[in-house]
Amino acid sequence: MSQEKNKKITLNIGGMSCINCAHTIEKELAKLKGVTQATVNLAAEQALIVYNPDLITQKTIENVITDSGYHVIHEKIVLQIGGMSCVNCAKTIEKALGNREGIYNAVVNFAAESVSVEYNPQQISLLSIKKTILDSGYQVIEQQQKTHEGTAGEERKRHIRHLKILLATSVALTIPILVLMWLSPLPMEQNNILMFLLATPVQFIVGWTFYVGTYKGLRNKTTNMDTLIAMGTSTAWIYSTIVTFAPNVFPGAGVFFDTATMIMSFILLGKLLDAVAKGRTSEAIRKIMGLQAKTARVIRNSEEQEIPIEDVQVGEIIVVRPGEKIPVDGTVTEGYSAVDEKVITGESIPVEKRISDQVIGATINKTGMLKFKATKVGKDTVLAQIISMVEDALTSKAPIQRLADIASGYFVPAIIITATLSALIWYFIVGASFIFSLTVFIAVLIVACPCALGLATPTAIMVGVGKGAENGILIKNGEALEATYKLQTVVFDKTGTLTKGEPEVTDLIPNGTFNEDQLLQLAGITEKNSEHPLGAAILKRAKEKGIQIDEPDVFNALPGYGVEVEHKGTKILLGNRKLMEANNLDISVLEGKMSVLEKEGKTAMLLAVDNQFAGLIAVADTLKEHSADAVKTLQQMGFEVIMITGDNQRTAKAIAAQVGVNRVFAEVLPSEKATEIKKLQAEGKVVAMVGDGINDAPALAQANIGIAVGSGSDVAIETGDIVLIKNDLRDVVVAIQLSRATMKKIRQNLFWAFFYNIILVPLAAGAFYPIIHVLFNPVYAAAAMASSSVTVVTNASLLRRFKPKI
Amino acid sequence: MAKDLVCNMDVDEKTAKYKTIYQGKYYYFCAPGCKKSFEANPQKYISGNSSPHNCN
Repeated sequence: MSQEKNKKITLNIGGMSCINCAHTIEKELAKLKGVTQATVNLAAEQALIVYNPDLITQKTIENVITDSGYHVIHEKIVLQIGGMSCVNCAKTIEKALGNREGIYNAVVNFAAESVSVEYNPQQISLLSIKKTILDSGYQVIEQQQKTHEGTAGEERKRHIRHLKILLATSVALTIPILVLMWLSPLPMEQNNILMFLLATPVQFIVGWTFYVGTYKGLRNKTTNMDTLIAMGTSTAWIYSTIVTFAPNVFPGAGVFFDTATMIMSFILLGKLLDAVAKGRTSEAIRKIMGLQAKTARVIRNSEEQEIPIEDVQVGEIIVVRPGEKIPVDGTVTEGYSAVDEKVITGESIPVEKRISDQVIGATINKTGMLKFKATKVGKDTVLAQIISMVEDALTSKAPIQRLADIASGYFVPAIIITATLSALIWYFIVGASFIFSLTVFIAVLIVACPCALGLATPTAIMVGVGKGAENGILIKNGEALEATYKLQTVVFDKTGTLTKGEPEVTDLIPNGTFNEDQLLQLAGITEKNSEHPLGAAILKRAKEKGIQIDEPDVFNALPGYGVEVEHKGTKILLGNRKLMEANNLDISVLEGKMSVLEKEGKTAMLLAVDNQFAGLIAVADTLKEHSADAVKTLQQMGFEVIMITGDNQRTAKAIAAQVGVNRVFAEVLPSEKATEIKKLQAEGKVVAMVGDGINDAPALAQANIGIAVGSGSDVAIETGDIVLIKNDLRDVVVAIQLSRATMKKIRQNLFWAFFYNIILVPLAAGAFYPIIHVLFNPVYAAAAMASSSVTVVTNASLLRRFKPKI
Repeated sequence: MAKDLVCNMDVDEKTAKYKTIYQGKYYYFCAPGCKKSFEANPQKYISGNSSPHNCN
């Protein structure tokens, strides 16, 4: 094995905690055939590997590292791209980047005009990534994360202004051409020469962009929409020019300079409308990205200082006055105020904030001054995570788009072949005139619209994801969107999802001379030092009623029975039936009521004071406010709703009855929830799982759609395909409806894009000429083509009007 | 007088601060350590085949 053949790579390794980890990786790598050297540097968290690329791939090496429990850190960056005129440009960039060593994945979002690149910074620098993009003929729009909105917005405005100038020029020159064409005020020769003079600048100055696009494509061995337009208009111009200056080549033929310039004008109009509409589809997303506050007022050296938000450190105290934006995430240390969290949660009613409450960056402080300690800054804030998630969602592709992607890859060559063949058939086989065949050739090139295919999915996803984010619903990928279309079953976790997750006192039934308040007070004393959640429910209720609770003098927890305490010489017992039996107490007076409570799924606790039965207290985990509403709406939408819980059958059934769920999986261990989902899927069902995102993470991952329900800053953003920021289950319904509406748009768009080309390409080719005896004028072809992609983009932006039905 | 089954000390059931219930019957202890040991393995102490040891 010659030394030259060996390759040397450095990988950034994550998950190593000690030198042993480094050794493990080294050992595993050394075992591999083809790896000649592997050194892991724990401090630098890097692995230096020398290997023979003929024997082993970098991917295999990385897999081995992952399998041994560590991970190779990939950098991810989103770059704004300029100069992409059509979806084929996106493919060109993806191809160019994909061929570079060190790049794992490059996905271009044509609608957002960005590319998301996953790469190994040790192998390829950001600079060479940018250079690769430049070399393939596009621009990288330099920007910093924080000015995301500004730069992208300005670039879009500049682009629109540029298009407007081109369009105005094109129209200004086309009008006199039309006059000359139709009125022929001059002798034919001069008339033609004048039209040539007017049409040529349109062809080569206004139309320059199409030639540049074609050239870029050819250099990367691809073709695109620019190729078609450049070919079509050039053909018309060249033919007309020959007729003008060498009339003998095509005796008796007329020029059609008007065709070339009108095509140009229509295409430019289409591009302009497209650019405006595209701006509208990304509106919601740009709004979210612009939410970040620019500065923060922190206390340093006991003085208030205004500093850029990037400089805020975790642990610093930040002051926010009424009306100001809260800059980062944190915990309130001083003050009391109402905070408008609508931008993050979609909830329109301001939330009260007191000491030790969580505040979220980008929300607005309304009424009072707040001081809080920064807990999350920079990339870790809820807003930053939402933004990066939304960006990921935009680059993810719904599986349905793959068909369109495959089609658009073959599209342009297929159209060029179709145009040429049609023209040849008309001229040589049918025997049509040269001008007829030429018109067919131009019309086919111009009418074909690969753009509509490429824009169909990304524009709809952009509007759908943006609309969701505005309402506190984060849709993370295209697969989930598409799955909602086939969704049949929605499984809810019980505790903490359908219910509040913490028990509450529901019934107080005193016995004998005792009253409700006494019952609470005595029970409160027994539970004062208990850490039991049932005890916490009693103490909470007592506090709400303003009842003072003393510490007991003697406390005894009696496992499996309850609690026994002594307080000022009184013996108080709180527990189950067995505790009362062990003390020979008769509870038969309330036995009937107790079994009713238990049938309702409540936990009944019995209280005795100095060997006198004082009454019972029932505690239960209660439903969240909107759970029943959400379940009912889902059932009306035709879904089977299932509840899954670790609780016993009785409690589970009681809660299920309250919330209106018919099918219950009870006594399911947390680790078995994913298995239950799998079983449902084995029945052939497409399943959505709704859970809290922490305990239910495996089940969320197993389901076709995992919906994680969070609350404000505690959002577990990593898990779930859809994340609900608000703790309101009606958002499950909204998320499903929105996903379905988005999918509907995607399908409409794709249908339109395919249908359009399938009907209009044969029409332009003259396939229907024998029946309708009308040939498709290339100018109409240009108008149709321009309106086609505008239709797709506009249709997608109609999704902005989406209103949930609940 | 009741017996602390863990350490074999005598405890007064009326004043005993540490007690528990097992199989419907109260047991009394001299200290929290004994209560804990008993609750961890009540059968061992009830059957009486343990060697007595002092509570700490």
